[in-house]
This record gives sequence, C-alpha cells and structure tokens, in this order.
Amino acid sequence: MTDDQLAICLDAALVVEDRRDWLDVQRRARPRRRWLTRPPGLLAAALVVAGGGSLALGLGAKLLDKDVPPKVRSQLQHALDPPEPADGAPPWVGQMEHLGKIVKGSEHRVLRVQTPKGPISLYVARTTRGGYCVMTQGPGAGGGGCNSTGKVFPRYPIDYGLMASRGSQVLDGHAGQKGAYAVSIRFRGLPAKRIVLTEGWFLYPIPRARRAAGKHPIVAVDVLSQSGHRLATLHDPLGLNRPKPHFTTPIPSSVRLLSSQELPNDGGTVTLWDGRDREGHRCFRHLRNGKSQQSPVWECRAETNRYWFAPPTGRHIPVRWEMGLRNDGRKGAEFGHAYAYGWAAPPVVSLKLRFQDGSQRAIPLHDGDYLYVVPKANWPAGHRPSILLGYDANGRQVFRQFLYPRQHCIYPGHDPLCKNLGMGTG
Amino acid sequence: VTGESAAALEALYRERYPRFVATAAAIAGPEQAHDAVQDAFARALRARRAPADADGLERYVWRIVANTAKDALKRRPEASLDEALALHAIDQARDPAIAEALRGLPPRRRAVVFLFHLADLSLAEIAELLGISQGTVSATLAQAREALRQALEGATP
Repeated sequence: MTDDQLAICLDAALVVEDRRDWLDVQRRARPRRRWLTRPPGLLAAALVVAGGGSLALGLGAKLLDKDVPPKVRSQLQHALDPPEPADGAPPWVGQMEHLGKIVKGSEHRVLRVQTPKGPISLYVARTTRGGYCVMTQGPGAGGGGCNSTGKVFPRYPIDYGLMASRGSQVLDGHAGQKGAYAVSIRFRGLPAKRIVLTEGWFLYPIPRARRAAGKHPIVAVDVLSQSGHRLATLHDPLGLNRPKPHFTTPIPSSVRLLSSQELPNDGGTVTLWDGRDREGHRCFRHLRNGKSQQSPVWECRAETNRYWFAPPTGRHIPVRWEMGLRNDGRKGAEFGHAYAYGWAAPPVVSLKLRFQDGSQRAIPLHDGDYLYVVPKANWPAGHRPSILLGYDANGRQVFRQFLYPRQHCIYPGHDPLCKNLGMGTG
Repeated sequence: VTGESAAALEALYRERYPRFVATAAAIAGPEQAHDAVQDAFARALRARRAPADADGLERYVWRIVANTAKDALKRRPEASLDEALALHAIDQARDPAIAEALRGLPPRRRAVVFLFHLADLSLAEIAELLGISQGTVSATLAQAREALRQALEGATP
C-alpha cells in the first residue's frame, strides 16, 4: 500500500458531521465590541419582531447574510418567473411546468471559487415545489436556470451547466443522489480530480487543456459516496462523442417558393422556401435579397416543420418563432426592418399575433411555414408583437408564447445605444 | 484579509471542512473539533496578512487550525491525545479494518498520521505543533505507516 493509497483510505474512512457554516465563521471574525455596544434585549426583540417569531439565532444569520447581491436575487427570481405582459394580455403559458415560487430568504451563496481571472460564485435558491434555481457569476460563468422538482433521473445523474465567456469555461453541477459526497471528474490521459460537494453542488473552472479542444478533456463525472463508492456517472459532459450535425439539401425538383415580401426602408425582398431531401425530411430556408441569412442555408432536419425546442428547457413545442432584424439606433426608424419566420406543426393549424396595444392579426401559413414582416407601425413600444397564439383545427388555443416586447433594441427606432445587435424577440 | 483572500478562505473552508474537522478532532478531541475549525477560520479572516497564493493560504490555515485545536486541548486539562480521534472520525461499521488499525495506534502516531496525510503539514510543522523534534516525527510517521500497512493488508480478504 502506497502513501497515496493510505491517504485515500483515511480520507474515505472519515465520518464528519457536516456542520459547515461560513456565516458563523464571519460572525466569529467580527470584533466583539461591535456586539457589546448593542443592548442584547433590544437586538433579540428586533430579531423576533422581524422574523415573526422565528428563532432569533436563525434569523440573525439571515439578516447578516450579505452574500447574495440584489442583482443575483433578481436573476434567480427572473429565472423562475419571467415577467408577464403588462398590457392586459393573457399571461404567458409557454412555460408549461409549474415551478412554484422562490422560498423567501433561501437565496444564498453555496460556492465561491477563486480563478486567475477572478472569483466565480454559485448561488442557489429553493422553490416551493421542492426544486431549486441556480445562478453563477464570474469569469467564464454567468447564467443559470431552475429545476422544477430537484429529482434525479438515472439518465441525467447530474444537473449540470457548462458556461464559457471571456476565454474561461466553467462546469457547475448538482448531484442530488442520496449519500452523494463528492464528484470525481475524469480526464483523458490524466488522473481524476475529486471535488467534495457543498450542499450537493460543485463548481469547476476548466483549465484550457481540459476543455473539449484540449489535450486532456473531461470524459465523465462520477458521483461518489463518502466511502468512494460510485453512485452514478455523467458521461461525456463536453459532448466529445456527440454525433456531428448532418446537413442535407433538398432535391432540386422539390424546392418551392412559399412567400415573398417587401421589407420597409428599401430593405429589399425576403423570401421563404421549402423542399424535401432524399431522407424525406422537410427543408426550410429564408433568403433576403437572394442571400441566406442563416447557416446552414437549408435546414432539412427531423424537427423541420414538426416541432421546435423551447429554451431553456429544450422541451418540444409546435411553433418556431425566429426574427430577422436590422436596426441602428443612430439612424432611427427610417432605417432597418424586422420580420419573423418559422413554422407551425400539428396540432397547430393557424397562428395569430397579439400586439401590446391589444390588437391582433392572423399570420398566414404556407404549408405550415410563415413569414411575417412587422410593419413600421408596430415598432414603437406599446404596439409591438407581444404574444404568439396557436390554434388547432377546432379553433381551440393550444399554444401561446410570450415575445418579450419590452426587450431593449428589438425593433428599429432612435436610440444611440442600439446598434444592430441581431437580436429578436421570443 | 482582503476581499479576494476572504473569498479564497471561504472556498477552502467549504471544500476542506471535513478534513479540517477530522484533523482538529485528532488533536483536540471530537467535541472541540468543529469549534476549533470555526475559530481558526475566524482568526484567518481577521488576520491582516495572509498568503495570496492558494497553496500558501492553505498551509497557513492548516497551521492556524492545528494551533487553535491545540489551544482548545490545553483548555481541557483532563483531556489528552489518548481520546483524540476516538471513534468520532472513524466509522467502524463502514470500514472496520481502518478503524481497528487506527485504534491500534498509539495516540501520537495517530495524530502524526492525520496531520501528515490529511492536513498535508510538513514534518517541521508537525514537530512544531506537537512539541517534538522533526526526527521523532519522521520516525513516528514511518512506524505508524508500517503498522497501518500491516494492519490493513492483513485485514484484506
């Protein structure tokens, strides 16, 4: 038995009651005088009043918790509960899962990891339905989402996120298995790295050599019990073995022009096309002035005209809504254009667009596809498209998507801060 | 300490808490371990200067944890290293072989094993902490390892 094995044995045999409490450390680090200047009775009374009878000590911890910046609290709340339309339109039901609400005061920082580019923090809040919302902040991180139930499914043993920005990359995840104590991140050609979980969470800034394009990429993440027993494995989190996208083009004789419309401000013509490839998939493309605005030019895939993916969950939805946009805030509404395109698949057979001002209009479908140039009158705030509605053959509303009309810079208009961001609603 | 060092301290605390507590238990006893670790980190937070690099910071904190645990032990004159480790950190049901092997070690050897293997302290630091010479630490460690190896390999079916 080597020294390393001996250390591993000892480590694995440790049974320590997990009483991690960083707030307690911070309290102990404060000068005592600060506390002695406060009348103890008054302090306790204030705590009890503020907490509606909660235990003073527990609430004290909450009151002293300055770890969660207001911006993060807001982001956690937003991840769970996107803003509803403020124009009296029906609420957004595109988010079909009922996520519940954030448990008040449950927002807290779980992890903070130092990297050469600065610290990365991971914040978590509990939801009333037993799930959680997570948010990361820092170099390489920045984003998050919610898990509706907090349940662990065998196919997805780790609820993980992989984020990249400014040259940094971060893997974060939650292992919710009973008895989960640590994760072991396995690399190609290097020994694994073990990270002890904090409240089930881990955060790993991925060094360059261990990323997908590096020499020693991450190949799997194991969830370990305290004794080192493997509870579950997440395979290939970087998608190294993911099948490569397979692009085909339509059979030339099947290509049809479905719609052609003029764009305002001398923007030219936008056209919508369809076809069918040799594998039997429907194909879809749109061109502006004869040039493709997307890559690949043709989309001939299983989902084309059959379904679409609802961000951020990836659930299948029947309607795809995309926007083509050109604007420049320095030039105002006399420049640019905005159009929407996509498809509606069964059970949706007709589409209607509702605007912020309460008006609505049908969007014509061409064999399931649509192209809609947003008129200039609907560019100003207060008149923008706000909700996309889908109806089945019986006229029943079966789909609804909120289009975030108050998003900044989404339509041409005068705002020097808005350059052509290529952003769209939806 | 500065904001960055405080963040690094917090990360270290969250990641290594079990090791710190186990080691503190090896020195001061199980009942004092958690308090010793909390106090040690509080002392590190209050410190005006702390090493900026991660390795240096961890060694610095280990020294504080070990000293704080030792101070906690001094406050309990009836306590001794004999009760250190006890059965608190070792789960007999999970791994009876390791529990038995560790229980079979004299207290000083147990402490040295923990401080060296889990706390990653150097021989000199362990010597300073336990008030013995570096040579004694080295010899004690060798004896402890050998005894553990024999016990564990003998227990392997």
